[in-house]
Amino acid sequence: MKQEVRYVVVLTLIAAGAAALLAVVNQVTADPIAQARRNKTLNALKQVLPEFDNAPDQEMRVVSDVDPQTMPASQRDRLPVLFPARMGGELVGVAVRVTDPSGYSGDVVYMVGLKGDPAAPTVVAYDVLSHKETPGLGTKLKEPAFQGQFQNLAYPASGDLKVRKDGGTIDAITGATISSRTATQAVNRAVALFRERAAELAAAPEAAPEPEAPAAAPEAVPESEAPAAQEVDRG
Amino acid sequence: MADTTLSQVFSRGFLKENPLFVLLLGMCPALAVTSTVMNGLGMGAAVVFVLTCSNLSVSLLRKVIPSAVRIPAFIVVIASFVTVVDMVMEGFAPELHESLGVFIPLIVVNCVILARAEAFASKNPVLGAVIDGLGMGLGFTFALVVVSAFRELLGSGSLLGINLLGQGFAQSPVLVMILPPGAFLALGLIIAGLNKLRRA
Repeated sequence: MKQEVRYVVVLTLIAAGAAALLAVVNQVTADPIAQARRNKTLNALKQVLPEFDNAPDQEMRVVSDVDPQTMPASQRDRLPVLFPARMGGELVGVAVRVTDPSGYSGDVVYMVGLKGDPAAPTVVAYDVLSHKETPGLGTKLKEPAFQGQFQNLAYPASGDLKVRKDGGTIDAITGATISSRTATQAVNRAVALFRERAAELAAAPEAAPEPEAPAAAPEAVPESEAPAAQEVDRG
Repeated sequence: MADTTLSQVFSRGFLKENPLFVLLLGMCPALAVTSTVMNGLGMGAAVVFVLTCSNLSVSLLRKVIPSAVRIPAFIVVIASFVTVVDMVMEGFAPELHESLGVFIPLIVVNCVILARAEAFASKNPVLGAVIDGLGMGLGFTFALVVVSAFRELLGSGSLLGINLLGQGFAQSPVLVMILPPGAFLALGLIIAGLNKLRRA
């Protein structure tokens, strides 16, 4: 009996010591971790947006037609998010974080920067935030040879960006057409959201509480704009 | 073990009892993260830290911990240090943290660390345990760097991100080497080479 008590006491003390150590380390690292996560978003925003002087990540809007808080975190993280960029209060561009589910091995998360007239927008650039594509093939999404095609690209009037194989204008990465399609799909999706929400984003410099009811879930996107692109590209 | 000197304790981790090449421990991180030398170094540094700290703690507590509950006690100690590494790395080296991903938390189940706690630190005084942790950790790091250098050189034509084999090679490298099968090929070839050397 005495022996069992000793087991419990020793293990409890060790666990308490471990908890104390972790509490201290957590205190020290909590701020740098939050800062590092924010910097990651900010760096991506700087790469894909024209110059801005606001903090787009503090004005971000999550696009959802139901309250994101009621979703499981794994779904919530995949919702599109809009980041309005302003210069002197004027809306100069919008970055859209889009999760494309049709990568070669799972989700590819993009930050797509758009500017100009929502009816005929210009793609400033995109950045890949996370992916699990094949090293050496799908990972070329991040290389200038492919990514450069999207820089300052006037979005086609046909309303549908596609790779050449699907009758479009973008040269796919050799051996990674599926990965390449995620980029065009993400841009199509981002443009659809930009068109839908640009007026509202331009009007409201103050951070409004996200998300309003008529927000753009894919099925809410007007017929003429994105859905066709989504269907065709998936093939 | 009584007649081994501290310098022997330190150096045997490199070749004679190298955790990866000779004991074949810790294969999971060794195969998964060694696609670039930077990843190999980062993982190695994390393992050195965890191994040294856990050896130190286990050795300090060796007379307090009853042997019936030693395994849970070791695991709590190891998991705490791994969590420390995970948090520090995320805060101060976010890019490395991202590329190592889930393999940092998985250091908890790296058998090199539990094996040293069980086989050495729980039976030896503090100084020896720390030196053993450093030696084994650095030996593991050395092995990771060898494997990852092999893979990065052939799979991407570069070392530490610096292109060494020219643009032509970088355009069409031996892709399989940075894919998972390449890890097995590289490790197998290196171990075969070392075995040959040792027996010669």
